[in-house]
Amino acid sequence: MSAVENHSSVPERIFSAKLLPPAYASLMLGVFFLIPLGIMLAVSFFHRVEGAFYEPAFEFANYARFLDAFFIKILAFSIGLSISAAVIAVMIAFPFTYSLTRASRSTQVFALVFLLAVLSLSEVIIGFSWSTLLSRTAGISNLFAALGLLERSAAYYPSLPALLLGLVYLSFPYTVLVLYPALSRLDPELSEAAQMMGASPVRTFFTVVVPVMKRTIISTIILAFVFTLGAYILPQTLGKPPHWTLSVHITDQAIFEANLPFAAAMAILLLLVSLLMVAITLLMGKDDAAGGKA
Amino acid sequence: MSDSASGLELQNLNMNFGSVRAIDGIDLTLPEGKFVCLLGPSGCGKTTLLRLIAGLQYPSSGNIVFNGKSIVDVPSHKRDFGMVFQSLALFPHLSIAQNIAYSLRIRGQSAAEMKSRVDELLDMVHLPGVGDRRITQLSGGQRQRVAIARALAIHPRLFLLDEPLSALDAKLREAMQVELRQLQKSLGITTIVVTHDQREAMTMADHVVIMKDGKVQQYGPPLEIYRRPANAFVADFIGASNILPCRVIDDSTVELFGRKVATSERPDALSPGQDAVLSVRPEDLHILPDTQRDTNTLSASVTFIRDLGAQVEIMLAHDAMELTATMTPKDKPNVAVGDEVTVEFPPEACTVFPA
Repeated sequence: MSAVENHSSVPERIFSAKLLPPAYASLMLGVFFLIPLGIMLAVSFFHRVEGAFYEPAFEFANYARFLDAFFIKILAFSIGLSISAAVIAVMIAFPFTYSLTRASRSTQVFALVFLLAVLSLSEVIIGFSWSTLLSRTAGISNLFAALGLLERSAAYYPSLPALLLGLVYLSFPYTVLVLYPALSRLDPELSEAAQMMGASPVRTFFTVVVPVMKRTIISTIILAFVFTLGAYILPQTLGKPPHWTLSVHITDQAIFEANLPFAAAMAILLLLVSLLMVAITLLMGKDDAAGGKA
Repeated sequence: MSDSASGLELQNLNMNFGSVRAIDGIDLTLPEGKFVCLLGPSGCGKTTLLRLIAGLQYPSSGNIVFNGKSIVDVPSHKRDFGMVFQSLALFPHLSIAQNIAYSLRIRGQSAAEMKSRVDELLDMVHLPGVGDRRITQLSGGQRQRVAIARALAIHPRLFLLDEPLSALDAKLREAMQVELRQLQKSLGITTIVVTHDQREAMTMADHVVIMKDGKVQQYGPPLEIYRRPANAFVADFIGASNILPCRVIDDSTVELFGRKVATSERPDALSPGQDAVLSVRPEDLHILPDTQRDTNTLSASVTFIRDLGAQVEIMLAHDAMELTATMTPKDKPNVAVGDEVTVEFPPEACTVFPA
């Protein structure tokens, strides 16, 4: 009798209120993150069968192929491009969000709704919109020509600045929405105190607002960096082939070359390199702010 | 008070937030070198008034004149005023010395000048040698002192404090009130403090400005306000008062619950037969432990006795009207809850105000 009772109480204990939340979190993490990542990791070591698909194996050929000046250059370019886009986006978004948090309630709501609308646009739509705007036949250069600023309209894309512009535009609303809660929690008395002590509004911004928000700025740059690293349509619509990022090449290998093992290997490497970048940035931030928040 | 050459003068100052009149036509002259407290319940406009003086807000209309010059159009960072904020607003990314030296750095002082001034200020607020520490390493009272030192670094022309002691516990707050007052006296700096605590205002101020609904109710030395409140609101706000409805009979008599009561002062602008209120301080009421009926008395029953040790508070009721009387323990009458007693109103302690 007692054995039966013991049996029935075991599942109760396992699914007690204390254990359920972490169990659920682990389940979701496993289903949506660990298992797909594991599959990708496994595939990256598989053997590609020319003209077919792939077969299970354990070889480093896919990684070895990457260690080629061509792909290393692409990796370096991708990271440089994403860092530039992230830094520019945050440099524009930070003062914008700061002034937004000081605007009236209705202005704030309007701006945030507008940004959410922009956020809902897909990369494809953003890419083709900008390519139209930057084109010779229908773009803004026609306006410049009509105003007499230019002799005749010109095409601004495909080019590196056009690609950078597209990536900044893509990550801008995202950046503002990440900065917004932190900046609206910033005590306005900090800025007022600086002003009472003689700092002009510009000086207050650079000597108080930016340093106090340093950690938020760094983490927002990291988020924007990771976000733009995954863009694979903008480089193809707004950039030239030399501007194609690693994400474009991964897509190319996976979809058009049907070389999943090599695509998986590149994805794993990209993941590792970006994790390394994030870790370095966080460590740097920690060092600088050692006493600041501790 | 007509001398406008030195000190701060507010001329018909108004501040509207939408349809709300936060500051409603304030005219006030604050003399130089004095400690002034802006006192009132929350929402009375005292903080708004301080922010207008600081230049953190721009008035809807009116003028602010400081030492003979209008400063309305001078931005806050060019006013050379020192201010301590309610949140203290110490910069978390800077050390204590860097916080205090912030205004000196803005003014381009050399490192040596800044260091000697920071040391001097830290000595002044009794915190020597903490310059290299972080804000987070200090207690609430120490942060308070750093905020005061930081605001005084440039020898400001005017020292403004917005509820500066509200975050401290009661004991520390009382000690800081005394310290702040002594500091102000030794520096001789014109100081304006916003507070909702009348005890704090009485402790520190040379002059108190009592505010309500964006208007100045009374302005003067604290004891004068206590002894001669201008209206029933001030009487109740500065040291609690019993406010009782009455009717004017003549210059020095009112009718209170059907009984004639002699009062100290002629009810200003009140004609016989008009409704008014009688104000009398709890410490001025006498309780007689029987129901004898002399002049200037009222019968009441004891509803509660709060014996605080140093002070006794007796709560009384006459019909639905509640009264409070306070006294020292040695003056406590021999009464208990439920007793019928006689409350005596000394004529010189009774003031009549318009209802």
